[in-house]
Amino acid sequence: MAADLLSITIEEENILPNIKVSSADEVIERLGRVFCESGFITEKYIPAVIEREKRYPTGLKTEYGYVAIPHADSTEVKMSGFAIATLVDPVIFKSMEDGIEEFPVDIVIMMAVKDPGSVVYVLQKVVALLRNKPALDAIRVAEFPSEIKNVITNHLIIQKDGSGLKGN
Amino acid sequence: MVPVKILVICGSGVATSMHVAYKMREYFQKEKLPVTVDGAGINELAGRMHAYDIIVSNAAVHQKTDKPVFSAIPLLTGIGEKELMEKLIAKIRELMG
Repeated sequence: MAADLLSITIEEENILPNIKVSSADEVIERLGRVFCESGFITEKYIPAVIEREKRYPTGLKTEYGYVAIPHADSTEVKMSGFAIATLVDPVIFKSMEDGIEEFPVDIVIMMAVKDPGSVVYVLQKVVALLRNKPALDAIRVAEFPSEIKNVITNHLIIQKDGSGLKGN
Repeated sequence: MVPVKILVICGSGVATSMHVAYKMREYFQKEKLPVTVDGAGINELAGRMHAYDIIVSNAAVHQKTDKPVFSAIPLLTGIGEKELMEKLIAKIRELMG
């Protein structure tokens, strides 16, 4: 299991700290472009995510701020992984729970899931991040991709022995 | 004993519903409850809900149903997770009679 957990990595080129965007579509496009260039998804994944976000939005209210986890089905995914952007100014994502409430999101985690077997691993990591105040705080103030990558890598190492899931 | 059947729903059926189903199975195993948990996309809900006792959803459910419906969002965000699982387990025990 540890090998599986580690096999989903976050690449620095898929991390966009402090970007300026004016809409949810725009941040999905920006993340989608780097995600595509690094070989995780095909170009078609980007419009698929934008379309899905309209029907089934992914904004989440966590204890430590608003986060969105845009994704689509696995058809256009080449490798499982995630891409992260932090936003200078929040943009509106609608609530996953009721599809109506509007959340000012400043951390966007775009997910790509290749097969059902890897779903749980990708999601466990993302969900553990959503619940980890020090990790989210560090991601929010990070200026460079390497800093965010370090937060996530350290966080995953903590998670490996189970202690990263504390506080639930 | 006939297991209580739970259907977990999300927008596409590939990501968040799988995670929620996995988390719930862990809880139910700990409680030794006879529960089966399946995941599906919301477009499958209308066709499949008749075969389940409880619906747990990550997305807004607009279909009419006489089945109890719970929001799965707490299992993602952690806010209210304990309360959700307490309510679900109480409902499962009630259905088991």
